[in-house]
Amino acid sequence: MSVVLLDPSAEGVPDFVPIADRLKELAGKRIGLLDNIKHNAEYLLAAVGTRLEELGCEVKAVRKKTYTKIAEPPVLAALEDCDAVVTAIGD
Amino acid sequence: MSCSVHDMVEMERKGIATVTLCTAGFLNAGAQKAVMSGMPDLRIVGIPFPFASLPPEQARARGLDAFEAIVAALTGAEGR
Amino acid sequence: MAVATRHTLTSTDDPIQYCYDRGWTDGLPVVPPTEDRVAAMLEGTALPRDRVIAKIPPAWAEATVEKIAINCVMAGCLPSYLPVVLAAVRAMTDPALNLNGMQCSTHLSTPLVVVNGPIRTALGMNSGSNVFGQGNRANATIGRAVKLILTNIGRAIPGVTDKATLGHPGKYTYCIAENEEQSPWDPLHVERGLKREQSAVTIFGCEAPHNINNQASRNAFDLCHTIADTMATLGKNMFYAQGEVMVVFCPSHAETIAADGWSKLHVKEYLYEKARKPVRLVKLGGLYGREVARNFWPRWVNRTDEDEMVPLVRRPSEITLVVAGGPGRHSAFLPGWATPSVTVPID
Repeated sequence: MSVVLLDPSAEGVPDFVPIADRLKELAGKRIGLLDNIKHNAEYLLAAVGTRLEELGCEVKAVRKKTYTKIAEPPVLAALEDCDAVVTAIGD
Repeated sequence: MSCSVHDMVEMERKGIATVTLCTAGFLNAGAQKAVMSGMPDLRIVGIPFPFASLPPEQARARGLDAFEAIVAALTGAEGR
Repeated sequence: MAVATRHTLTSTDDPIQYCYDRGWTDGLPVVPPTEDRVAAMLEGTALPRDRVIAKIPPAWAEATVEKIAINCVMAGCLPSYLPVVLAAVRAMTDPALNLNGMQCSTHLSTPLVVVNGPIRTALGMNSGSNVFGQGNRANATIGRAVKLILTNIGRAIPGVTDKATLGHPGKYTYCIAENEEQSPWDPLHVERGLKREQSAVTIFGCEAPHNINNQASRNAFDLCHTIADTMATLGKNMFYAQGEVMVVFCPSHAETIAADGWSKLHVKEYLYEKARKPVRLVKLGGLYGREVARNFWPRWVNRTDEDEMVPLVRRPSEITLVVAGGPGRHSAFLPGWATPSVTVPID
């Protein structure tokens, strides 16, 4: 007769994957700023971008067409040459 | 929040470090979404509410206030 | 909530290896959770198997009575241990504990299970010699079940979601019973408002025990001086996080202190006042180093005064005292993670 084991683990939860490696330093890196076009996100990101440039980063500003949906493929593609991305505003 | 988390999970899967900003009341939702997306460690930084109703100068100030946390999230220097 | 998936093994599968292959173990072999074993475990409670006890972070997945029982089987528990584990799950998912933060932290804290009341004797738990060590089935398997629940249901996976830099052996199992019989004071659960005859579980997120060796002191002041000095070391989580700490007194130390007429409150007040370090030293490390203004210290701490003594905790009540262990004169200090312990009665 086959052995049957009961699953002890969380079910219905996707397998976890780790986040990408963090940057060792910021200077010289290209940082994407993804604006989801919610109100005031652009001002917050502009201030963050200025500070990043002061730290020696190159800043690349990208805007979504709408915040109601996930980013369109060209938007994400535009960020793929960045070393890191900051996005605002979740809400 | 859900869309922002989704977008940044995609970036992280491509090997790009990210941080998502939201007002404090959305931190929990963001965390839940990150877990359900399979990436519970996604970095999310909260800023005080309200935000959308602020004049531009104050919205900029929120960015400056959060800057250290943003840097910490991108470089892993959060300590605890 | 659906019932747990049933995995049918092939004739060539080894059940123990199967559990390893699925990532269900803590690195040690587990008892394969067969239908019969889980059914027997569920006899330990009157609760329905599909009752959701809590959601376990960081996955926030549902810990049903069945899932908890499965992990108890794997840990090697007897059915009579199940009520303790159920209570432990309730306690550790109290929001005050911030289990999610603790599970994912780089700090090595992990929940310690402290059991009080008559259930200790009923289950044959160890509250004496080697209480933090190996050898007692109830201590070992109750503690292990809790840890398996955290990893299997909570999905606190080392390196992925559990970011502990070092971890500590308590992440295999960490469970003691208080030595109420040899304590000169009220046990922990009575101190917290429960009746002595009510069994209870306390969960405290903490580091591994730091030994406090004092053979010579014969009065409360000298003994507590040693304890305070052991507590107030640099590198302590509390110097920047603040929050609760625990001291586990061996019976002999507790007797020496109580013989001088000191109550638990007296001890807490002494340790609160004396377990301190000056700003001059604390600012050499911690969370913010020389940026002392940023620390989570009480407002009354004058950060600009290099001689100001920074306390470990905000108030004496954040020092929890327990008596455990056997003959000898070694007590232990357990720094916390920065959240309070939680006590719940065992049903």
